[in-house]
Amino acid sequence: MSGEVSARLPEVLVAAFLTLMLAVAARADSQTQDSDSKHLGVKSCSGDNCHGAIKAAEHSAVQQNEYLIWSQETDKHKLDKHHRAYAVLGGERGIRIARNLGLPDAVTAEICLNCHADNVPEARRGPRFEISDGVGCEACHGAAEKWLGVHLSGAGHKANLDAGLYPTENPVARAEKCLSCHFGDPTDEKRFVNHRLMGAGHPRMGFELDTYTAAEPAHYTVNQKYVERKGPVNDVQVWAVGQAITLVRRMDALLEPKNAPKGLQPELVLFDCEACHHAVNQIRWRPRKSTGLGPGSVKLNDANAVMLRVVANRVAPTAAKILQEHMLALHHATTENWAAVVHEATQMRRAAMELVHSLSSHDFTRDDMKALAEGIVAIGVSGDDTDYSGAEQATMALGSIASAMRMSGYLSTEQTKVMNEALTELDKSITDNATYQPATFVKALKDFQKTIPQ
Amino acid sequence: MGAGHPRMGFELDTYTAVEPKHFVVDQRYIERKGPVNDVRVWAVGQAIDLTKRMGALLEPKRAPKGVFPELVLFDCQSCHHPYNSLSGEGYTTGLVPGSVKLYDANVIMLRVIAARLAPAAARALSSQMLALQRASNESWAAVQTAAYEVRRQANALLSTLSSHDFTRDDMKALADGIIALGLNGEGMHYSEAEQATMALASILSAVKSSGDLSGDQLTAMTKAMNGLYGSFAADETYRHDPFVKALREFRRTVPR
Repeated sequence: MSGEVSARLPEVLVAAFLTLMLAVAARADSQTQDSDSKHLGVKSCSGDNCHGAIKAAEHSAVQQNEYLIWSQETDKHKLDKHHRAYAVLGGERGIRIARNLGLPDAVTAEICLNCHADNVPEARRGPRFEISDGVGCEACHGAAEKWLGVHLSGAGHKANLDAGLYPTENPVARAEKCLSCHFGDPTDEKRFVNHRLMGAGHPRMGFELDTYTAAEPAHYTVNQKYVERKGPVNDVQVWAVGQAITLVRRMDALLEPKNAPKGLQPELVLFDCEACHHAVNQIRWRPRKSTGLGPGSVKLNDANAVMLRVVANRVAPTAAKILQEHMLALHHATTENWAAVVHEATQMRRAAMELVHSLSSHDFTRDDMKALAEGIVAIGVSGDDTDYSGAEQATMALGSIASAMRMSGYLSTEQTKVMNEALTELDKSITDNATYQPATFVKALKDFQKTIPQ
Repeated sequence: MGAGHPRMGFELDTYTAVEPKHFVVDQRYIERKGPVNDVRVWAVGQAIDLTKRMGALLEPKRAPKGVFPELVLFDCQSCHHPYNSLSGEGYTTGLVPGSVKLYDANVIMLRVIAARLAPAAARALSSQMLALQRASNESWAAVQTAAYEVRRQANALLSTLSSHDFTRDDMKALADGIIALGLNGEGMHYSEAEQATMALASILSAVKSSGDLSGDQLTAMTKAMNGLYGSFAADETYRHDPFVKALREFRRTVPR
């Protein structure tokens, strides 16, 4: 999982990097796989004196309504997507996808349940566990059998973590956990939405760590008590780490032998959706410096790499240059052969892994936030990445940066208001990939740029 | 195509008519050049189109450069469709969902023709085309082997079609066969709908030339034909339900 490390880094940093990644990997692996521990089900969290309380107890460290936020179905605009994940399998689309795959249904299919529910083996389900709860608490926070007792004793967050509670507050760990479904495990055919599933009707899968944390919706508040217990939160850091780890996972997918081309058919899910799925009558191709590809080429999904380059340009310029070179080479490799793709994907993965370390330890300042926002706007305005996938990632990135600016006190009330209005226009410009127009997105970008404090 | 060239559809008889044609098939034309049967022109066009497509697959210049093959040889809408519409389901080529299929609308038409004139050849062509589609999941060498055989079969059918005297019963059977394809419940994809419509227009033209339609019948069929063309005007908005509805309307106008 930790991969190779560049010989360019000084030895002491190499050691620190490896220690960090191995520690996180070991913890993430033990939490994700959960060894033999039982999942007790959401009912073990939902008590009204635990996380199902309408009002938090005095001196409570948390808001205690986490289960209520996750489970509510009254406010349709705030439905928790994890809570609904199992239910959608039984809907019209789920039924059709299953039929197209030759499956009797989606609600019992492992390939569906592995991400749409907390699908641990039967032997590891407690007596009150219900698969129909969907992506319940333990899917993210780890098997409760291990840590519930310590948690109930009030021993504190560190003790909970030592007992096996998953460190979701750690951006690297959160990214690994979220991406295990939101990108999937390319080595596991039962846990990866490949193009066969897409062809069967599975919806498009976009993801950005910070935006999706907020949009779930988040069932916690980053207040003083949170910061004391779990450390400060910087949305830009969450976003940046998310981009780096997503890129690592994309490269893993390219390197996975199962995803090598079968005859003439490469694993299309690794390519940009709209590189193919656009109306043929649109004259849309333009030269792009970041791909070097000619008209009629199908490009890999590189939106994460484009975002990561913006971050790296600010935080680690040397790494940014390396990333850019390998991005170009990887795109070019798709016009050569799969062996060339594998070679370049290996280099990209190494570059992305190195950036995970830089980003997870960088203290993103207001100047950083401003520079990153300007950098993202510049990419779109230059036309270098106004494809839908690029516009989607840029919009979510600017949302995360705006959030960080607000939290850091960078914005006045009026500045927050105008920035939010500009973000709303950006969101509208990417509402529907089928009707997306780059010109509308670029206009919204320019309007957003005017709201960045100077 | 990526640079912006428009989509290239073609059907020999229809495109002859819509150029627009600068000749009239009258007595003098027939005396000098022989009779014209639009159905034969259509059928021969399908066979030769198929041999040309297979020729392209066999051309070394069209071999894959890099990870992707020459995409223009594949069905446009196999990729270029909105993916929110679940339009990718139900392919009849025997490929798994999410696969990209070679353009095969000519084969589908040729199969209808062969089913009428040479049923054994129709079955062989069907089977060989399926093998070709599946070969794209194996290797370029497998594609070429399969394409070679498809071309051989298309050439064999060509000599049958170019000498066949298409009768009124043939025309009716062919029209019924094409309509049945569209109404078989699996839905027609854009390229198939396009070829099916142009085929029915050519058959209509042939029936009209034979003088076997009354004024009212011709009016009704022409109106229904316009409805068919209208149902797939733009590839990006094509949906098979409106096309199927237009096909049913057309079927009602076909004399029994």
